[in-house]
Amino acid sequence: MKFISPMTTSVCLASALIILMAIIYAEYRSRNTEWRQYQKKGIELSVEKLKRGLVSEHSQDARNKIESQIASLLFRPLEPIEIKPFNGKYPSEYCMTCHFGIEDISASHPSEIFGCVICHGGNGSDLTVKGSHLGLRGGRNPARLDLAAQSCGSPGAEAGKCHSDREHPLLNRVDNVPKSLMATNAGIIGILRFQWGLDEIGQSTYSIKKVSDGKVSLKEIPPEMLPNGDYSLADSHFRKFCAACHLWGARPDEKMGRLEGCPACHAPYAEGGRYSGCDPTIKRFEPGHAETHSITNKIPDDRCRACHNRSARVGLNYHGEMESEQYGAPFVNGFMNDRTLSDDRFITKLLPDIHHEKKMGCIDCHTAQDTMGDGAIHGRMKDQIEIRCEDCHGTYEKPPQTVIFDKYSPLASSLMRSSSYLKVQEGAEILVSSKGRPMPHIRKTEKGIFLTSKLSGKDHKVNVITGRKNGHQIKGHERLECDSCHSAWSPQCYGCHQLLDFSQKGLDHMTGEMTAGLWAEGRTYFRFERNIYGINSNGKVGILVPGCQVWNTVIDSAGKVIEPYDSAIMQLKNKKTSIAIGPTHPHTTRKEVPRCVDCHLDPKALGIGDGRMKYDRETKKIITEPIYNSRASGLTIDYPIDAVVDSDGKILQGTSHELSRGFNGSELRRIIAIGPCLACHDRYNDPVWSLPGPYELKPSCIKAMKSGSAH
Amino acid sequence: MSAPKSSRPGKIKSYPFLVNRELAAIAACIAVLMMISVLFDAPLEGPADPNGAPTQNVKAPWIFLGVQQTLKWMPAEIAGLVIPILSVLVITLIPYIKLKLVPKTGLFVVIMVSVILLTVWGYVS
Repeated sequence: MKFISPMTTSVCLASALIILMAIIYAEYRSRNTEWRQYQKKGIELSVEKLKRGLVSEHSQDARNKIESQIASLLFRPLEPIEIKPFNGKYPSEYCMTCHFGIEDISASHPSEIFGCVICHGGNGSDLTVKGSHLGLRGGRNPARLDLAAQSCGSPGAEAGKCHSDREHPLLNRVDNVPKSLMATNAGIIGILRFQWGLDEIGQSTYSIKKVSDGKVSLKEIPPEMLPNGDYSLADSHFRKFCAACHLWGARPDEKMGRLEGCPACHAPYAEGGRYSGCDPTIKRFEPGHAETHSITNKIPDDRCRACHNRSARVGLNYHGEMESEQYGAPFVNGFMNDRTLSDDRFITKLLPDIHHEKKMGCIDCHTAQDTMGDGAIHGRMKDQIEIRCEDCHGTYEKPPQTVIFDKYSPLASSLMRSSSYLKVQEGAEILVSSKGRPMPHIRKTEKGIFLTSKLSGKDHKVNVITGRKNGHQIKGHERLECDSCHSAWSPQCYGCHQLLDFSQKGLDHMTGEMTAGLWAEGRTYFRFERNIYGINSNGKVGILVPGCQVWNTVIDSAGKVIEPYDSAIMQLKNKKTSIAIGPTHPHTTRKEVPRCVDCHLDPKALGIGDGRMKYDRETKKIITEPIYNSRASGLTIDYPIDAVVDSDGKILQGTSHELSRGFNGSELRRIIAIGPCLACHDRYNDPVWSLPGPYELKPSCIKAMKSGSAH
Repeated sequence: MSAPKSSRPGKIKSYPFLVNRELAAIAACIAVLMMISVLFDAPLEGPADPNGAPTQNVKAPWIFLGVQQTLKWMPAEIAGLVIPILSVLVITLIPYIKLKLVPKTGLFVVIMVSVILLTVWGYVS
């Protein structure tokens, strides 16, 4: 050994030491791999869950079963867990080794059969966090709209043709949803650009993303700043305000319940966007997660309310909630009360929709096509929505339409499978929507029409009004929407005062970037009582609400107003202004209806503004004394803010929907003309109202009124 | 230290002098590679999808990163055959060739540094 130099000896010894340390460390790593730690935690979470179930379980057999499951888990060795998707048709994967205890995404997507890679992508054969997640689609969400076609089943998808290329085009949901209104926001964009003076008509040519159905093509909404240097207020407002709600929206820090893509509706959501399932790898105190790793077709109402809580506010209205004036009153223990929405807006409790009161959910009326579209690009919600009151309740002349249920019909059978509560026999008579599509949850029997709730399974007897003379037979009322009479209230948000402040930055929801200019908005006042009526975009008499009455203010980075945007009213291409009213369906349905005089003799209901109304015998005209003085209140208009037309039917405010308008002079005269009759004939079932009009005061009427007795 | 003399003038025995040094170098290399192996995971990506779009940045194993890098800006025959074979040949023949302009150690260092630089370049590019 004397021939070995000290240097060589040192190198050899150091190398031997390093090799020994490396071997020890490698052994340590193999005993404490990431997957072992995750699996151990997953077992603990699963045991905790079972123990919670044990506390609430009273059946001895069930308790024994749970206890045996707990024992089995506690003695379970830590080991790689292999899944062979579809009996080995796809490569083995080991995702469950770490994601031990994760919930099946649904009963029809069991992890044991599907595995994970089919939906999520990734490298299922790897057992490290980094290696296994290589090639993962969409991070935590493979059902983003840009990935859903691949993850959930297009012809090119790994799993085959699950939700695309189906037997019926309506079932190609992953193809249809990106063309639907919740993905395009075409209705919002169209009205916004029209109402702010950019476009000639309210029919949008823009969408959140470029999209086409072969007949209609929509371009992507332009940027705030156009290439020529022009700043578009409307597009900026959409990007920084309205675009907070659409199915393409990426919201990693979401706390208000709006998830992205398919999970936006189909995944459960807990307060704060926290996950509370059994997957040990998902951070439980991080926002932006679904409550559990699961999806459902039984969409709870809170999924709809997550977005439908502004503008028409139908998600709130249906549940009898209305934004209050935001004082937080009444105070509780010296503090503001806690009746708030997830974004801290205070609410007032009002009369809910009777369907809600009867425990029906949004999806008990609204069909899959209403929400996910029918594959066509629509510019208006009314064009995509296929359900109407008449589809279930009929009209005075016509009962609801039915078809025979055919279990071999791809659409009907698929819709029936959408809820485990639906049991329809072959040959049963089921109702169809206004577009003639089957609704297997509503069936006609010898005992009447019954709706089975998709959410609860409860059967609801449907009241059919066909032939029932309790007002539905009144001549002229056939032009009314059902909810014109049957809406208890409507959310009326008067005066929409927008402020764009360039001294602050605002989030562009389309790009996720903060850019110069923050939008804020305020209102003139709120009302909910006594509806305003006019002609809606279906050409029927319906309820109108402010929508929207825009005053725009823009200030520069120094806080100075940029002229002419100092509470400026926007001038429209059709020569009207941005002070507009719009038709709505309030979703505050009640059996009870207003009295005849509540509409025929109420100036607010007639759309000529709240106030005193009298008939001037000399001029033979209706004269109104409005309660609200717009000019004196600082608004730059010369008519009451709740007046759509004047008493002659002259248009004061535009409407955001084509064809929609206030009553014209002739209509107003006809409506008011029966006012004197109502002193006696004030019941819907009064035989007089079964007679054809026009109605005139007869000598016997005048005599009766003078004598104060019936004739 | 008195070493066994070689029967050939100007030479020493390869054993134990060279062999011991080489063994120490091998041990040092194994130690370094093992440390790297246990501390850093291999930069492997997921399995390639034969039906998917070609990946633009496919990397060769680290020992070939240098060669792969030269392939990006030289004809395949030169970068893939001539240069590697020539490099190995030159290193092998260094003891047997007489160079006047460049010292033998210098030539070895130049080749090895070039290989290392190309490998690092290939890794980060």
